[in-house]
Amino acid sequence: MLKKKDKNQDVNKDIPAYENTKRAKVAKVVKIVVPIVLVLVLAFIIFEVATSDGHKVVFKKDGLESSRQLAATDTSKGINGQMLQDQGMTLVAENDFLKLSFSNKENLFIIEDKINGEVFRSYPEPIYEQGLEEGGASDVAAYDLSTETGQFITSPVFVGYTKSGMDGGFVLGVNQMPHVKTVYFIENGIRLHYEMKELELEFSVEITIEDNELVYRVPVNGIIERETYEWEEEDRRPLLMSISVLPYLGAHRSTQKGYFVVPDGSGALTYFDVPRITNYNEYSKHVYGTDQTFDTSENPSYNDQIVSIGAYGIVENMDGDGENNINVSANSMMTSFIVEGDADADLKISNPGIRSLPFYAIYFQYNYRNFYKLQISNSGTQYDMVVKDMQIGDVEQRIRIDTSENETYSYVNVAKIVQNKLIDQWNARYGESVSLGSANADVPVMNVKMFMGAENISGGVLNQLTVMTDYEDVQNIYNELSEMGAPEIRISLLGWQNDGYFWNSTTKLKPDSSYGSKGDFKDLLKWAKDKGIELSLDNNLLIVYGEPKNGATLRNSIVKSANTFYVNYWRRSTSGMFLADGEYYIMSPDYFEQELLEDAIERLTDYGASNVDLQQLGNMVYSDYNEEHPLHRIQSINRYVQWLRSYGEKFDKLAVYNGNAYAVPFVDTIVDMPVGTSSQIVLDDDIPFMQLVYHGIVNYYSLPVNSQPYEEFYTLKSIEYGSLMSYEITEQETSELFYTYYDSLYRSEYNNLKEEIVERYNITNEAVKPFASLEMTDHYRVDDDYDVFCTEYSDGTKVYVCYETGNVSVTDSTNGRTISFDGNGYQILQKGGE
Amino acid sequence: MKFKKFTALVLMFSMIFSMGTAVFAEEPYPSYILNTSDYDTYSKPIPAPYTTLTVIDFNSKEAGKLSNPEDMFIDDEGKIYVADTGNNRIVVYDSDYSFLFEISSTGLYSEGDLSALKEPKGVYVNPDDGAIIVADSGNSRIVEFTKYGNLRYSYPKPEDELLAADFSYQPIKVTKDTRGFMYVANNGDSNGIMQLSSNGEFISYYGTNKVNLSFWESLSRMLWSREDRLGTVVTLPYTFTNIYSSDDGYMYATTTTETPPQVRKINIGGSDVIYAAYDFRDMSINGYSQYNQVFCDVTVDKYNNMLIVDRMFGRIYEYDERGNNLFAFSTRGTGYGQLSYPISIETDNRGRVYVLNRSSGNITVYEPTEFANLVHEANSLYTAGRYEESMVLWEQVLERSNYYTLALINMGDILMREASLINTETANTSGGSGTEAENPRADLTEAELYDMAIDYFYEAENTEHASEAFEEIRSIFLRNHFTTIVIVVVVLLLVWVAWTSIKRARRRKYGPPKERHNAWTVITGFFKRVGGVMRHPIDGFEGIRYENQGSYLDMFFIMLLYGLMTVAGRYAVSFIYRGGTPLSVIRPVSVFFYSLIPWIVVCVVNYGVTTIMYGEGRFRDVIIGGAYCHGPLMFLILPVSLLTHVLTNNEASIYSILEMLIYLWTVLLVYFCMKGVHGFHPVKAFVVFILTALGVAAVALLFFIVYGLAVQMFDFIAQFVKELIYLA
Repeated sequence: MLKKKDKNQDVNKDIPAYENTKRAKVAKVVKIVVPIVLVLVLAFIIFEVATSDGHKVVFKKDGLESSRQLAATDTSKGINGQMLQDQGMTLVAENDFLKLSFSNKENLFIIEDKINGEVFRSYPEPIYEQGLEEGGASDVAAYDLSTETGQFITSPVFVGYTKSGMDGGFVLGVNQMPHVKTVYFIENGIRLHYEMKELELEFSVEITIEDNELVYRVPVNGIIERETYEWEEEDRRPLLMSISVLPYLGAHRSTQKGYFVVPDGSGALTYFDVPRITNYNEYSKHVYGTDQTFDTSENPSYNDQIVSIGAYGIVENMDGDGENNINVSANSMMTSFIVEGDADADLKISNPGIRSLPFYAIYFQYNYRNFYKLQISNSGTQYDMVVKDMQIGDVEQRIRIDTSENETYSYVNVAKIVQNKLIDQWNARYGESVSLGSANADVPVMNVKMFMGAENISGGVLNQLTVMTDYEDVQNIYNELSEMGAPEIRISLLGWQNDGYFWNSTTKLKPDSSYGSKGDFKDLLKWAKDKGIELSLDNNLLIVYGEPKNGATLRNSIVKSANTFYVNYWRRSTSGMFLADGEYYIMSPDYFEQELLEDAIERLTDYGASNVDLQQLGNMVYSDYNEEHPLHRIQSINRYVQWLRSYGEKFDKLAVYNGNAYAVPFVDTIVDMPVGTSSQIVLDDDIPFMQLVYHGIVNYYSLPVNSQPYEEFYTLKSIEYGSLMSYEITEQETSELFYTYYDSLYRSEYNNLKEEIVERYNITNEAVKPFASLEMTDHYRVDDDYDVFCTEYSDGTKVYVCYETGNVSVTDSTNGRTISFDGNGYQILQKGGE
Repeated sequence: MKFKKFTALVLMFSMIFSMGTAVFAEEPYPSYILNTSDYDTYSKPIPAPYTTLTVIDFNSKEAGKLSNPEDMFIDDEGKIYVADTGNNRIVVYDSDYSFLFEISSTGLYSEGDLSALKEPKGVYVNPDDGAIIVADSGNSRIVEFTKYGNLRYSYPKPEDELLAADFSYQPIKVTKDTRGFMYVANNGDSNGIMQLSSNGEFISYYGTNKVNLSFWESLSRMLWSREDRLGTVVTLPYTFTNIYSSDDGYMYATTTTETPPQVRKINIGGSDVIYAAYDFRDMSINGYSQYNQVFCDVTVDKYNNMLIVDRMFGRIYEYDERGNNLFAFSTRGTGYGQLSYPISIETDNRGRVYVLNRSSGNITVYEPTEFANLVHEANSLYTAGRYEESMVLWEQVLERSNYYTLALINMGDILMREASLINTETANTSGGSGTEAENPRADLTEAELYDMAIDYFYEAENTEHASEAFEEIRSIFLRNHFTTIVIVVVVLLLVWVAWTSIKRARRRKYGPPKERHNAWTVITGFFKRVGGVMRHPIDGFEGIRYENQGSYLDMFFIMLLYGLMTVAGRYAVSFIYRGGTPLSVIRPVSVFFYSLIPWIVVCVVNYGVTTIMYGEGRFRDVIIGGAYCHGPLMFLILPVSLLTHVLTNNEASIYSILEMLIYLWTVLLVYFCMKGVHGFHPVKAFVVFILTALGVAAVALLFFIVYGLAVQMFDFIAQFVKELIYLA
């Protein structure tokens, strides 16, 4: 140190005095300037952060249709087209099928079927004292407009709102709030214009008739919200959350006969005359499944199926006869179908007791905005905040009305109307021409999912992958099954990617070397192609297992909630809790489209893949509030459609899971299609509604039989629902999977299952496969006293399925045949058989 | 009438039981078995053991809606008795869930109407005469009705010198044993279950719970006098929430504690039989939840399996007589088959399970599935000693659920039993009754059977049973190969003696061998140096400091070998001694690097301490010397691990002692290293040793504090930025 100091001194000696002075000055300036600059930079950063719009999410407008203007006022009626306030029932529209009348005073719509004179009211008629049977009770008081109940029942529109952008989220009938209503005549109907005083909100609802349909429209251009005041924060103003139109149209009391047709899972019925517990919340589900960006839940739900089609039906027996089973003899039917706004619609079912009302009601609620949770600190309270942007464009819902004195209706008729509507919608929306019979008649009999492997939770010497089935096993299994008499098998490879099933989807798509070399993989695909085997590669597209990689970051590739947090994908433990130990995220659809889609398709084609199963596209829709590429649900769906088209151009066959309606026109196959409904207390019976709609349009396979708790029951159910069966198998023992995250299987070892697979293959080959491309024309319970059901196909074939354990003989009233069973089983009666 | 094609294919079911009809494709709840392996405390999936048969909704029944019902009883005929607490009545339904009658009165007990009930919270039906006994909680009495609902007896608050003057009597549950004694769970009574005579007189308290003291409470009791503890909260034993008297004379009870013993099985003498120390918490839930389970009722089915219901998560757990978990299923919720607020559980003689939901006032009825029936049957055959028949069914259970570890353990036990009977007259019948099927393993040897058994235990990850099987295998091996082993040992000894004699003779004759330098001598030289320091640490460490005998290369290889041996040791330990830990969960890279951390920390701390203590060692000497201290671990950790392959659980002490000796040797080397490298006096070296140890502890503490603060700081910054962004 001393030496150093001396050295410096020596150097200084050589420098002139004025130089030293100059240096000292520079040093002094530096000492002052540098801190000032640093402070200014810091202040600038803080200022920028504090004043910049860091989480400004700017959505594109595609998919949010807002082109429809309010319908023109019909000035030939009323005064300047506006209805007088004090009129009674006024006929506002009429055509060959329907008459639409409206009472401005009573807020009552009456739709009359002109052919049969059947009348439908926008809310049920009160029970008057006159004409009451002994012991009956009048409920006129409930309609008193000075009470909340009366205001609620008679409201033609329910409005969800928040007054301050964060509190409430109340849903009230319009009549419960101060408002100014103006009623205009428009072509074929009326427009209700509401000016909500407290909410500082205006909107219009158009209700018209077209042929035998009642049509609701909510033009987004008619919604006017107050602008933000200068002194007010933007999202603290009153905001519209949701609108439901004529929610009590088709509402019934529990004394009436009939049911709702609910497209939950495969489909369900809610009977009116089933007494039920009243202290539960009303049934409420998003069409196309929950939005994981908003619908956070602390505990996972079980057997919670998706509403895959934006439709419902009301089947009623005006005479009051019939039993509470699926064969209710009905003479009127309403079929409701969403033409626009399906991506953000909630299907709601209220049962008697809810809101102290004695009615069953079913309707769609259109959500213009969602709430999200905002937590300021770890221990702080969570606040409900509302997103700023409206996520929905124009809404259009059509309700077809069918009545008949002679014919009877059932959920089958509802399904057939929905089927036609869907085909029209696919054509109009996507330009896809889909028709009945477009399903493949030569479809493989059974889908055998071969689970290849998953990473260990931890550990492993060189490779952390637990290999359950390798490429050679795949061929061996197929060959053996083929020799055993099950050659027409569709093979779906699960977990073939690098690192197995839970591969990181932000990395490049490639097969894992633990199953064999890349050459082996290509050979396998070639082998399948050469032998004409439909071998499909299962693809997780949008769930990111692990931290994003390969240029993807949390910031640029992961879905964010509106509260700026990244949306996690939660895995469910075997004991029914969410597991927080895995870093799983959901990928931004836009990121996938921009960065990964093309490469994924290219790689798959390079490997020689012909068929792909695409996860998420048929069963998982969500919003994305990532600033870099935000999307609303409808926009996500539009992306999916584009991807399905892209995949469709490159591959022979596409499959999606579950089968949400928007995906169906683009795929050949649906895998894991439900054959049951959710365990909601309001759903009384399950029906093959989805199957009645899709059968003949697309081929579908049910969930793997070996993962079902009641395999025999499930087998029969698959037969009844015209569903080809599936298995999920591994070459290795299932217990090998325990220390992986794929621990939900409890029975998958091929050697234990092969004989059973062949047995069920033969059953499916006989009872399901021959009808795979035919329309499912009817489905009914053969006898009220026994669990024997019949499914009829367009060629006249009837498939009877019996769930009774003992000997049963039933007579099918449609053909007078008596069918006998020795217990659980099925019988096929082909066309021409008497 | 003619079918063009008429196919009648009846599905043949391989299972022995037929299925019910009202089933969902998927149950709205999880179904699993609590893991019985030693390694993992979590759950494994199984097929649904019970399906929801129906939800009895009393709105539709003649008697109308239930209001906050608290208890339920099902008699031998399947009749359901519900204590409809909020409606002050007992409601009775038949086995088809149709209303039969109710016991209620418009009068008041206080006004002399003895049949008037007030908030009845418990109901029990005497199997002998059908008498309905009610815990009439609001009227502070037990009341007995005939099976038709007519008043028979009223047992008011008991009086006894054992009961305090301010004794509060609010019976919430009541039951009777086969001897006619009544047992009453009294609300808030920490003295135990009240035992009453058949005419309602108090006899004694029964099965009193113990006081559960925390560590600090126990410490304060030890250190403080009674006077000192005056004013502190008195800890009382937990009280009982529900009681159930089984046909075989046991009393099952649930308590208010959330820690063991939440559920008890008490014998006639008031002692716990099997569940005393069992922690009924479901760690697969608790591992992720801040809430503990609350077990509110217990019942016993026709197989003597115990079913308990947890109110917090809506789970039902079934245990067999031996305390094995058979199933766990159901969940809280409002779906069909989910439990909204379970308060009482019962079973009937059809095997159905009934759960009363208080808030919704309904009963969820579950029916056993084929899988549950199979397990019940297999387990009851096993318990009855009909092992071969049980074995066949357990195999079917395993086919249905590869994870069902109880099946594996029981099958292993059956094989062990068969093996122990080899060479006896009963070998072919497995020691069971004469009705059993012929044993297909009759041709197998004792050793083969034990080998098969241990494979099952390995798969079940059960070390206790695996150790027992291994002990037998080992003894058979020793028995069969004793002579060979002795011969081999003797031969090896002779070879060793001969070899050393020859070497000594050659050295005497030709002098010491010439020094050679090749790869072999480099390797042996390295091991000799490490071994030399181990055997002569004083000279060895001084040599490192003062004669430059150590080198960085040696240090590198010692630590590399030590790390590798540590990893190898982890893999080499036998299944029994690694507690069932599957090899697949070992992280070799982490194990390797973690093994180096103590060396780095100790060296840094020691260098710091010795710098201010005037130690002469350089940092180079400290880290090289420190590496040499790992000699015993490097040489011995793997052999000792391998030794576990010949040891059973009973010889765990041998393994522990050997492990302890290795570590002791290492610690001694550390001491001598400090002494030799720094040239300290033995006493000063000891002081430095202690200070180093304290320093290491301080560093660890500091690390955790800094880590914790850093996490907090980052979290604060993150929250701050998020708040700014949000406000922006």
